[in-house]
Amino acid sequence: MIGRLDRLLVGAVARLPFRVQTKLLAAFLAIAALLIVVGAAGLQVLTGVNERTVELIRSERKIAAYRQVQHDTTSQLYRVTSALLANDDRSLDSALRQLNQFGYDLERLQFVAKDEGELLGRVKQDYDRFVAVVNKVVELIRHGNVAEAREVQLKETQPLANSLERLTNQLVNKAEADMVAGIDASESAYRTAKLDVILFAIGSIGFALLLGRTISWSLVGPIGEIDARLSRIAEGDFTQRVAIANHDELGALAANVNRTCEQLGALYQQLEAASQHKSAFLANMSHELRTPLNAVIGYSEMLQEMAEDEGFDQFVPDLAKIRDAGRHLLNLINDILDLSKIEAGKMDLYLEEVDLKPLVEEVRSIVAPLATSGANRFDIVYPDDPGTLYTDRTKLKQSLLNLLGNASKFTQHGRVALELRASDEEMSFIVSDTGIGMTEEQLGRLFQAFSQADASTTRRYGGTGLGLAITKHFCEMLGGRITVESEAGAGSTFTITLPVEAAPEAFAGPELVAATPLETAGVGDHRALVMVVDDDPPSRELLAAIVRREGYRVIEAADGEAALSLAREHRPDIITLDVLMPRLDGWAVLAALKSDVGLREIPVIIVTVLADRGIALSLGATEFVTKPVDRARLAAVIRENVQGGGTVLIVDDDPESRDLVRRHLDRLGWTIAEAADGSDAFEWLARNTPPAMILLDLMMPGMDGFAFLEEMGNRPEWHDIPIVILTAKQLGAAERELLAGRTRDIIEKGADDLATVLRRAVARLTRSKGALAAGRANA
Amino acid sequence: MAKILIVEDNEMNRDMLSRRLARRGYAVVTAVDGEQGLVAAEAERPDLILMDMSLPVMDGWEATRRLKAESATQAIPVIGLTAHAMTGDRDKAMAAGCDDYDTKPVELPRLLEKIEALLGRSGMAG
Repeated sequence: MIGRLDRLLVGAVARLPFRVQTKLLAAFLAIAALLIVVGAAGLQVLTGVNERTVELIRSERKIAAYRQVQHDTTSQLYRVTSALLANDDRSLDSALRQLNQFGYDLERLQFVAKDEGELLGRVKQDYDRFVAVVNKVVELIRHGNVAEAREVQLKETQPLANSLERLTNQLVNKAEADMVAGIDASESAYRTAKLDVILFAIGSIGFALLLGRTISWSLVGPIGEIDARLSRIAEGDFTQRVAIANHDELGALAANVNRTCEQLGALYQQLEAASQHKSAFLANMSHELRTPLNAVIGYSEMLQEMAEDEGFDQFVPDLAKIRDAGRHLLNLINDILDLSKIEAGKMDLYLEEVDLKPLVEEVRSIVAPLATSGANRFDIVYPDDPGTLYTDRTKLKQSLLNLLGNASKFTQHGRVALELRASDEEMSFIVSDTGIGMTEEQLGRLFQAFSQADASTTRRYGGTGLGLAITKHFCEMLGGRITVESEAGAGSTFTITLPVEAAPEAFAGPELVAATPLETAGVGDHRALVMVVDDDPPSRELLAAIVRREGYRVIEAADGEAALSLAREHRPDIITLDVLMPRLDGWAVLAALKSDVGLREIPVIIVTVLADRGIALSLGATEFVTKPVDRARLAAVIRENVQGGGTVLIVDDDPESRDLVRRHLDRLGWTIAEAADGSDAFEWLARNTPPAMILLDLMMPGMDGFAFLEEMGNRPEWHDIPIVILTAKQLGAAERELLAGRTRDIIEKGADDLATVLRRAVARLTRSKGALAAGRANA
Repeated sequence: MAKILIVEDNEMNRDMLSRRLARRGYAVVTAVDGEQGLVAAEAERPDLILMDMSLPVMDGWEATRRLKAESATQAIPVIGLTAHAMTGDRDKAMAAGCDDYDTKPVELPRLLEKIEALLGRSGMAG
């Protein structure tokens, strides 16, 4: 709910059609205004407190004054009474003066009194009457009328004095009650004001934080998205677009990124198309050019023969030049065609057992005339029995001829040599000369197409400039390499090193076609089980042979119905499925497999002569391989898709994360073990057989991922366990480098959804497992 | 005198090859596509066939397969000729039933060697 509100808010701010700086300014001003309001509220509370304090002080003074009045009243009344009894003039005068003084004090009190005005009035009234009575008594005394004075005094002054005393008491009491009420009111007012100010301040801070967060998120989110998109573009993926709602500078930036991406994508497609057109064009061109050249070469050869036969000897050298020029042109065209095929990935390999001795002798017979024409010595050194290589004969021969041809061309009065050197798994062909050699700079450009050491070389020595580029490609296609050492003026040495058995790029080995009986799943054999479905026995046997050679177990099914029942019985790890079969065809089998809950997770590879890749994938096939089958590709596809069959140790402190990963891997057929941190993981490792893979989180309490990797470095017995880092942490370059040496792979949790991430991890793992299996098969 | 059937659609190549072989003392007959090649093989019963592989109407691979499937012609040795050594045509040609294979433009001495070898072999067999 809060999350939704938050997204809504951020989205709304992002969509505001104002510039980023305007938004920031508005937010700043809003926060500043809030601060001012908080300040003003505080000030008001202070003023209130001050006012009430002043009021209290005033009350205090008033009380003091009333007390004085009360005290004075009592003492005055007493004095007046005693003066009247004393009967002497001095005392009477003094009593009257003091009485007047008391009157002034009362007058003054009127300035401080507020609520007590009426009470004070009555005091004054009583006082006035009291003064009048006292005056009357004094008059009577002065006229000697003492008895009457006493009577009046007793009758009138005494009650008045009592009343005055009572009234002043009331005055004090009231004032004191007022003051207590004032203190109470002041305290409660202060509490209310304090609460108000605190609440307001908290509200303001909250609002400021929300504002800041909303605005910064409305900027940070889109920047992150644009960054992610740019990374994808950098990786060559032009299909996705940045979708952000911003109507500000970031929106414009996103639009530009999208436009750039589209244009780059279009450009990329154009380039790809252009490259394919170029290859197709070159292939056609080559063919068209070669046809008339055939005639030029053929007729010049024929004329040369006729001239020789019929005695026109003076024509022979010229005819030979026509023929040689034609042959050179033909070689050029052939080289260009080869190169364009290599670049278009259409160069095929024909692997076979090649007997090296006859091959080398054939090379000798071709190269000897070239080498010796420059007055060079030509040596071939090879062991008595150089043995055989499983490789492409034509390409090996062409490579050797290229190198030896170059050596002969660039060497005069020197030595050109070919040496064969065998090691365990490899054979080296070393072509050396004592010719003009090359500088460092020339060596750098050596294997690029159309780059002889320099242009003058081409004019002086001829050649297409493509030979070395082609040779390098051939060597790599055959699983080998070519190296060169050279010194200007001292000669060059080229070394081709080929594996004894070339990694077969295309299926060619008849030894694989041997038919084998249907094999069932042996108990206790944990190699992956592959089911091969094909109605044509030779095709099926061929596929089964390929699969077996990769180190997997095989079951074969000759038709769709058998395929379905065998699949239910054996639960193969992967199925290769032919399409064109009688009765139940491949599409129907595929649909049946995919609608069966128990079988739908089995990856299916469609192997067919048809070109309906789209149909296959839309029906749920995992991959699509066309016939005739490219063995290496089929093997790779199977390796990528064989799953399960091992334990994966998940090291992650978050139980929910572990649970999520567990559920995904469960479905893929893995057994799961869990550890909450590095030391937990080590405990598990010590008690169990090594897992097929460790999925490692980096940020954990206790022993974290980095510490775990470091400790693993000290445990050689566990070095073979692939470790895949599964982390939500954004890794820096230094951290990546640190991890790269120690782990199989680093997968960022945020990069894709977890299912994809785990599929990738598992695919990589099974690929390496397949490689191991292949290694065993080869051994 | 051995009789050689040249099946080749390109006029210049056909002319050149037939003249050069004729100069070497072979009797030469020609055909311009696969179908005519089959007809000529049936009618002329040559001692050897030089078969271009990329032919109109019926290509050389198909024509060779048919020759080799027919009892009357299956004993006749066929040398397949294709444009370029690298294209994989060699394997295809051998798979179609060719007895040998060469690339164009022909190097006559090499081609003659192959012709002699096949004629010698079939001569011995016959």
